[in-house]
Amino acid sequence: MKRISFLSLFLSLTLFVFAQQPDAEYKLIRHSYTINADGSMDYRFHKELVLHANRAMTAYATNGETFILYDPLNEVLTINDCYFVRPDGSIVETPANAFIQQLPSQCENCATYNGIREMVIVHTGLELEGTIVLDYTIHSHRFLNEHLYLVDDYPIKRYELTVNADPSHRYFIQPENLDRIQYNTYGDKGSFQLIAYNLPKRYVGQYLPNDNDLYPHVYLSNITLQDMERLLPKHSSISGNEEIKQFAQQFIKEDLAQTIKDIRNYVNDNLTIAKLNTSLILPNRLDADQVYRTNCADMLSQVSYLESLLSYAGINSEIDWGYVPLQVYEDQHYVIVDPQRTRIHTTIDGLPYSINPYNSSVDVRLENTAKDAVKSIDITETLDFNPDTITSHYAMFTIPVDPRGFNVKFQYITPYRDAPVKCRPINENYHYTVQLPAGVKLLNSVKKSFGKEGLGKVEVSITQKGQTLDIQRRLVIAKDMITISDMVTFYQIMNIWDYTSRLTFEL
Amino acid sequence: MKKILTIIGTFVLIFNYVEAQHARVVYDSTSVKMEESGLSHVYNHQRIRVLDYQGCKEYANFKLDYDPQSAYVEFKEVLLYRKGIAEPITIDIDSIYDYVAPARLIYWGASQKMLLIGHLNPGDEIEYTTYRKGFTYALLGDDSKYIPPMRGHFYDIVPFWSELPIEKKVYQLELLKSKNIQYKVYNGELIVDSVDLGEMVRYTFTKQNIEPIKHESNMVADNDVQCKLLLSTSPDWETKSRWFYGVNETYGSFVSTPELSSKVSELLVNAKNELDSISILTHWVADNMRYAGISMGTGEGFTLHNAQMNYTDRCGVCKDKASLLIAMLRAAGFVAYPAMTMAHERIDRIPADQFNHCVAVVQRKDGTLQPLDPTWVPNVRELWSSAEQQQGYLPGTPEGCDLQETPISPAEDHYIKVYAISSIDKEGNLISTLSITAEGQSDAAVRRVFSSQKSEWFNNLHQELRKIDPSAQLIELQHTNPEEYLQQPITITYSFKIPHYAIASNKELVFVPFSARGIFSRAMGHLYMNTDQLERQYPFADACSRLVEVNETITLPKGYTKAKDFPKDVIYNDSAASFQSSYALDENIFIFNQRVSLNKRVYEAADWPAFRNAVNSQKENMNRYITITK
Repeated sequence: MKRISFLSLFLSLTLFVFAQQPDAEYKLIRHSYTINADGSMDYRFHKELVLHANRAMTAYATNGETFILYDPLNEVLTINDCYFVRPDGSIVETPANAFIQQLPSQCENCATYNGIREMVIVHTGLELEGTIVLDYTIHSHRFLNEHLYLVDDYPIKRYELTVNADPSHRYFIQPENLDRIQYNTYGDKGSFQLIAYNLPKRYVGQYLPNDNDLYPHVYLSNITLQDMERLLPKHSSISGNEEIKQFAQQFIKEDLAQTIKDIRNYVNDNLTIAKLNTSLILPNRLDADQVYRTNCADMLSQVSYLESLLSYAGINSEIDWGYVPLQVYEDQHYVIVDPQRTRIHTTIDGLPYSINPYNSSVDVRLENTAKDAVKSIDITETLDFNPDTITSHYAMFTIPVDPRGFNVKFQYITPYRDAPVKCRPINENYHYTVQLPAGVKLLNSVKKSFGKEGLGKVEVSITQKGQTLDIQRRLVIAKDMITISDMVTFYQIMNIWDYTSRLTFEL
Repeated sequence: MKKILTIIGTFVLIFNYVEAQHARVVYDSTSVKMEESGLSHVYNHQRIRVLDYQGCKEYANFKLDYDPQSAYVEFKEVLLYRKGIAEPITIDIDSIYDYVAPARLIYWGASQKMLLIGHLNPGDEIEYTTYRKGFTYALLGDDSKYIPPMRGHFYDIVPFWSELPIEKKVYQLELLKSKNIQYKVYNGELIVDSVDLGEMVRYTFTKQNIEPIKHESNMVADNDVQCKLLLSTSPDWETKSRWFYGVNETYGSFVSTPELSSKVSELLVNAKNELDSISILTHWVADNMRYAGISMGTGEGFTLHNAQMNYTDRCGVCKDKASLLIAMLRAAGFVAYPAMTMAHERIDRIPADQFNHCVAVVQRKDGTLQPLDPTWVPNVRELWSSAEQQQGYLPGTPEGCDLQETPISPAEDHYIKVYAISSIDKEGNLISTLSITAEGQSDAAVRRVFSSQKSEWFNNLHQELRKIDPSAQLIELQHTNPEEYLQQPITITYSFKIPHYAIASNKELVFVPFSARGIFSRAMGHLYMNTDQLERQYPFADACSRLVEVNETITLPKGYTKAKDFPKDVIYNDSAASFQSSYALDENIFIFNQRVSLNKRVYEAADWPAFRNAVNSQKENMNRYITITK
């Protein structure tokens, strides 16, 4: 019997750490990029994954397979090594029938990208405490346009990132959030190496902060802003195709914002979108005629197509590709493409509006008035007494809160949580007065205050005077991310906020 | 014959619905000509009208699935009729895309030919004619590769139902009279016509105005209740059984290797008896052979991979896992065979290949054949998953077997028991020690809380408690080792407290027994079933039969000895489901008992009132407040 004891909750409110072995562990992950004199690139990947638990390899776990996406018409994939090292040291070579080249599901129903392939490698012979070893190279003419997170589902003992470039080519590397890990960097002109050690596994849980805030990560780019503006112009060139024009114009309504939204939603919901890595599609963006004819696009062409349809519908707009700007290096401004940051700007009644091309549920928004998260709520009201009757003599009343209020459900927060919580700062104040019917008596009056400077606080006062109920509740959260060291205090604040939200009455 | 695949045992909750219709089939006509060898030529002619932009998206490409090793498909003609324009546009059928289709888990190289239709507008219609010969598994070279492995025979399963409305559907089969085709229409009526063509005979089956049905939540498979046509030239199941036995024996699927035999000896060194040996081998295969199918080339789909390949690769689909188990059982001296089954769908009497899954059977000392499923029992304390009870299966034996059906598994074999010893003080504070223990499929459902990485176990267990009451404060947590699942049923014990759990006035305590509130409802799928419907039109299914027992003793402060408006004891018994609950007070000791027994996996529509009553009774107790006074 596994036994975990807590003398009492608040005695044991220190970080609970499980010191057990992980289900699997990477002995090594290595990414190597070599930019050749002719501009081509060799990307080499190496991994060694040790399996410690059945969960990491059997049942329907996917760790037993590796999926490699590439374009065999323009790129060459070479498997350098692929085998399994049994615990006794013997080697099981992966057989030929365990390498399957198939259409990736991202390209399903998309004739344009039917040439892209996914190499599936089914790792065979797996046993506990054995090691999956894989090493492959892709020779391509891709741009260097990568954003690597130094994290995986399992801990990584050693992580290597190497970039080598011919002197005729330049690139830029921007590591971030490395301060919390053990690492070394090496390099001179043309070469760069980062070696990191003992990287923890990816966090699991609700309300996780963005990966950029959680994990060490590295941007790699050889695309300058100038190059990018050439590759991804703000306006798509349109051919004047009458059929597309007629098609676009059927969406026109008097309400311009609605027209824009309807065209965006048509593109977003009724085209097949091949969600491929931008480095794979970047040089060959599709024009509007191709997208219209095939009814499919990649994420970048989708935006160009939307801009083209707006243009055909007589609406001027321009694309903000939302590059991730990296630091200026040797007078060059390198960038990374991140489709999720892309927006389309237009003008309605002389005012600037923008639209998210990928999300059909958001409206066209006036710029600079993007819906900010509510930071402060102040409500003073007189409430009717409409409780839920639970027996003939007792009733329960849930104190209302503004739905725009604090967004973290208490159920998912425990004092032992080992992952930070993403939230948003808030200051919620409620003052309610409730006139109780004759004879009704509050059973759980409360006056409580708790908090920590810089983190937040809760203040609650619920009292009955005669048949008047006075409810004052205040929740202040000062941070947008709750760190693990603040978790216990945060839990205590949320616990008070939660249990004082329900009042019981004797009828 | 379909490929023998595995349906993963998930249970999806759906509510009554009719799929939104984005297209309408104007007609769907299939013409099949069977040769003496069993080779069949299939022509399909359809016309589809797209109704909205979603339909336009769905039909912008047209695809044909095939296995290049055993089937041939081609587009004969594809025409596009723009709305309001009589003259069609001919789509260039030479510009096809031919590729290995996207797959996960089963990587056999199943392919597709895709034709780009392109941009469509609502109201456009597509008319196409396709041709297919062969089957969906791999055979030999040349034209003979299209002849089915059960040479000279033909079968088909033709759904006369659809998620899309069909104005007219026709299925026509022409074959030699001597083939003695047998057919039957299930769950509906078709217009049937036969024409004597001398040596040949042609059957035509027609149905008009097929409309999608209104689905009910948790209803059984469409093929079990909607109109379908089964045809087969195989005289009986015994013939099919002998064929299945022969094809794998001929290939040598179950011939052990020295390495494998040595492993079997090592595994069985401490085996206590016959059943223990069977259990050790079944669970070794379940746990150590991954579910990931790679192709053996010729014969893939219906031939079980051999022992050498399975033991070296340690991966395969259901048929390969069954094969390795059979080889190991035989190496241990058992008589064992493969068997085909149909997970979560009924097998009807016409011997058409209604199979999607493969298992093993072992002959026990008394001569009976016991089914074993190494695919469905990783982390399950069973040899045959009871999630497959009331399911047809066909062992492949030298003498030939008739179709078998797995029996109902008693609910008692799948219990989940919640026991709690608690106390509530005058302020209403609850302190409790609560244990959950489970067996069979309920054990597997509880045990899934440990299916994530070990580092997440504690948090997940804690969440189960806090789902019931977020104010619960854990004092101690114990559990059996989930990785040693064969050693004992899972048991998880929480000690916890909840401040102000009960409503406490001067003279009364009001509360819901914590144990009644559905902790570990992840193992009580019935609580998630929609019980709004008073009656059902169709049979329905749960994940498994199940027994829920709840017992809680709560010590109250001295003097709290009077029950106020106590709920009456409930005893409800039916062959499909039963329910009992009682609330009692002995001085200041409060006792709650509840027993819910759901006795089958697949229920008839007539079972619904009893089942619904039992489920709703449990749901009511989850929110039923008890008042105890001084």
